[in-house]
Amino acid sequence: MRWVKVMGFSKLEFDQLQETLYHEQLENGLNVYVLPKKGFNKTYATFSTKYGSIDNHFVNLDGQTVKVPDGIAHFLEHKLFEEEQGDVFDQFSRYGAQANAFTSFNMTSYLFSCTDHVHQNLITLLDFVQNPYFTDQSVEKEKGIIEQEIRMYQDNPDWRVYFGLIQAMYHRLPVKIDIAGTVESIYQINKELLYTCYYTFYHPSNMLLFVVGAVNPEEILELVRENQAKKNFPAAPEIKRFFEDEPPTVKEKKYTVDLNVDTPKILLGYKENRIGLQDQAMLKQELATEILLDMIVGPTSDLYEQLMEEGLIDDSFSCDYNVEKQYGFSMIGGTSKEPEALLERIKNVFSQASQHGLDEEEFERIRKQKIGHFLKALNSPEFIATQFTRYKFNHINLFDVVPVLESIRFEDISNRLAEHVREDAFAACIVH
Amino acid sequence: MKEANQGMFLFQRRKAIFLNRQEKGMFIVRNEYTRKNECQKGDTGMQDEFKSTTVNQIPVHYISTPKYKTNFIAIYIRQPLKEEDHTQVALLPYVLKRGTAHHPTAKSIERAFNDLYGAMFTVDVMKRGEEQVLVFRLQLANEKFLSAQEPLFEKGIQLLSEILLQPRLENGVFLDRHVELEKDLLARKLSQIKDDKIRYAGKRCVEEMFKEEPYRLFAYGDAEQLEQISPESLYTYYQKSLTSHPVDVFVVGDVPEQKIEDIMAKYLSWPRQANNEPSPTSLGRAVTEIRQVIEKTKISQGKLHIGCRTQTIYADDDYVPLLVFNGLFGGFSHSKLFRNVRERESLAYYISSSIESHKGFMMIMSGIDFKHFNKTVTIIQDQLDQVKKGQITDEELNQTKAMLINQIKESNDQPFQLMERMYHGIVGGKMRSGNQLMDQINKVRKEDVVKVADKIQIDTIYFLTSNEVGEGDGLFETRV
Repeated sequence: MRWVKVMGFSKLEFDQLQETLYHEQLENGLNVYVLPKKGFNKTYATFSTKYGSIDNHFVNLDGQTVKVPDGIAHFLEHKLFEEEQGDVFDQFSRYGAQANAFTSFNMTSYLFSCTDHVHQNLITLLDFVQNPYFTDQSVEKEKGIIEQEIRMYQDNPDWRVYFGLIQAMYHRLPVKIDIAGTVESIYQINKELLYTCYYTFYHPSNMLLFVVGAVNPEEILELVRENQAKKNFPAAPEIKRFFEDEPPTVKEKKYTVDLNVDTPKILLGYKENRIGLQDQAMLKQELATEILLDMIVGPTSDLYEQLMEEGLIDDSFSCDYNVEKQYGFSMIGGTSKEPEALLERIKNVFSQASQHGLDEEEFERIRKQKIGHFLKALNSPEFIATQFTRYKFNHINLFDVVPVLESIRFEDISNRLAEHVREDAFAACIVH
Repeated sequence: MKEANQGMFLFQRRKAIFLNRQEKGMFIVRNEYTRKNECQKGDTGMQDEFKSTTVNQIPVHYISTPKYKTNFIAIYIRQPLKEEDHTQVALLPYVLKRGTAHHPTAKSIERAFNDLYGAMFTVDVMKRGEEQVLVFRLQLANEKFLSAQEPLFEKGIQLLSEILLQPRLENGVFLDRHVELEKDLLARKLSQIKDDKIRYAGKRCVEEMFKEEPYRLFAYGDAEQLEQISPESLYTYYQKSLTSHPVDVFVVGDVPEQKIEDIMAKYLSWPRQANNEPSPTSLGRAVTEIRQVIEKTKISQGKLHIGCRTQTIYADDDYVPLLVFNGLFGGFSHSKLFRNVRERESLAYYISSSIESHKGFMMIMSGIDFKHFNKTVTIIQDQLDQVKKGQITDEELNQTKAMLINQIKESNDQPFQLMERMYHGIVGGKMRSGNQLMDQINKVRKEDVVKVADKIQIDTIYFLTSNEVGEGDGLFETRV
């Protein structure tokens, strides 16, 4: 990897991956990244703010501390698509672009993909996100739509078990709040609250634009520079978010949801105690924990094979690890006719591993697998843009994944096992 | 996370709400129109065109390109969709994944793929009209991006060949234990469908609508038939399928043409007899009366599925106007259904239509409040009538064409989608290159859309509602 400084922007070359990344931070603070992809037809762009469902308690631009209703970041994401002249989707459709947006715990992204009229579509993206237009009437109208969205998720057992586990783990941290809020909370949202959130979190200095695909990077940078120079953004104070202290222990060991399903769903995992990390330290923790979980319960583990043989799991069984600055947790599970028995087996295998140690050969195999999967993911513009942004908001560089994977040693995994797998951090959720 | 899909309604939604290892964490999307839509299907663009050759009587379609960081391989085997066979077809690929002569367990196969830098091998069963298709897909890292140089392409194909041609046997048939395990897993998968309400409603709508036709059969089989399947019957069926059903092989990646042919000849040659093409899909009956099916369960949102007959299939000249029709009716976020049902009336979060290319089937689907059943169905019918009456603006027509053309071009970057597209041409009996398709889309006039819309009839209205809704509450009066 090497840096080349060219006029105003910088070029970062990753020789082994044969990729070149262009970067510039504009005067208003916006970070712009462009990754040209040779031979591709498609261009994919995301415009993201480091603002998600957990940012519900903060200092607004008037210096007052405010607490906003659950689901407002997601509501704002819906409403930004409406402009005085009508719906932004019409403009994108005219130029053959598919537009969308998503909200997570930590970020909100607006995006499009297209194969023609990239410049026009990019201008539409920048302009609609930077031009909030809310009326009482349009805010009211959206409530019916979002209510149906919430109800759709309520009928989904996979979603319910996912949230159920987080709710079992967390006492106070707003990660326990459903991203879309509740049918009750969204009815408290009004246009004034939306503007408050917008102006606090949508300043260019809190945002990142990523463009990947069939583009000339210098033209894109010039276009964005020009577009941004035309707009005025008052200097933004540093964003102050508040999070209540979260105890290291889980709220409930076991949480159950009654949904009348044919086959129960179970997720269980450990609440991360080593939080507050950023940068390479966080990336290393994320990758090492993923390797750890795959070694113990992944598809090539002895346990996986036994559980499959005994009919306790099916191919929905999987494991994952999520870590952000304020929180982290592992999640293991799937569909099982005997969730209680499965729970005991998984707890056992972790305590066995803690007592007897891990298999170094399996470690090497999983590490190889992860490198291969990362290369596969680099074929996907969606993956590159979304994951790059999420990592950058945590001061991590996506293209460090391979070198960090190569640097992880067997001892790192054993250390992770000792740190992460603790009895008082264990929780489970079962949907019946 | 693997998904058992019914084939045509692949939603990004599922990706969004599952724990996804690539896109970390959970997020929810604004709308569901980024789905893989049937109406993308066509052929390939000029830069990304398959070449075809035959190795040992098996057609091999390939693109040799440095564009990707991985290589892509897929094998498709066509089966007629039959009541008596469809469950064992659904079971087959999973039994094959259980063990080979050299890798006797699923775990050892997984490990062998992991050793090839996490090669990804997946199997799938899908419905294409009244055919059932087995698909084996393999994606391998390109060794030029790795510090350690290993011939991954060749080793990957060798392993794939082992899975297909040297399955683990016992007394000359599949291992009894493996068949039993997979029967149990399939039985569970089938009974869990009712836990995914949208999917369940879609499946039920198809079953009701095609009661009298093979298209009613579910790609993943029928739980009641599992009992009759034995290692012998399954192995006999597999041998017949391997030697006489149509097979197609696809390869996309940074591999020279000669090497593709050599490796195919070396690893993927087996004795072939006849090439028994399944009989063509029947178009089905004309609708005389709209059927309405109301079902109740514990649920917090009603799932509305409306099945329509388009009387138009892939080989027809007005297939392309049908694509345009679907786009402006319910295929995109500028469509009539999205604008009216969601944006104007706030009745739904998701509302869309999608077409199936080989049976002449279109599905409209939405999630709505129980009490809005009548209102929603009326709006949907009115919107369909409007298109039939020619109430289409130039803006709508142009937006739809731009969106369709964009989808075709975008999918030229996705090898497995390119393969799917070409395969539609193979099954549909008419090849359309990406450029031809785009050309034809550009030429579609309003009259063509009206003409194809005029053939479309609502057949079955299916509504999955809450068991707390009383009898007679808001039931719909059908009108023909």
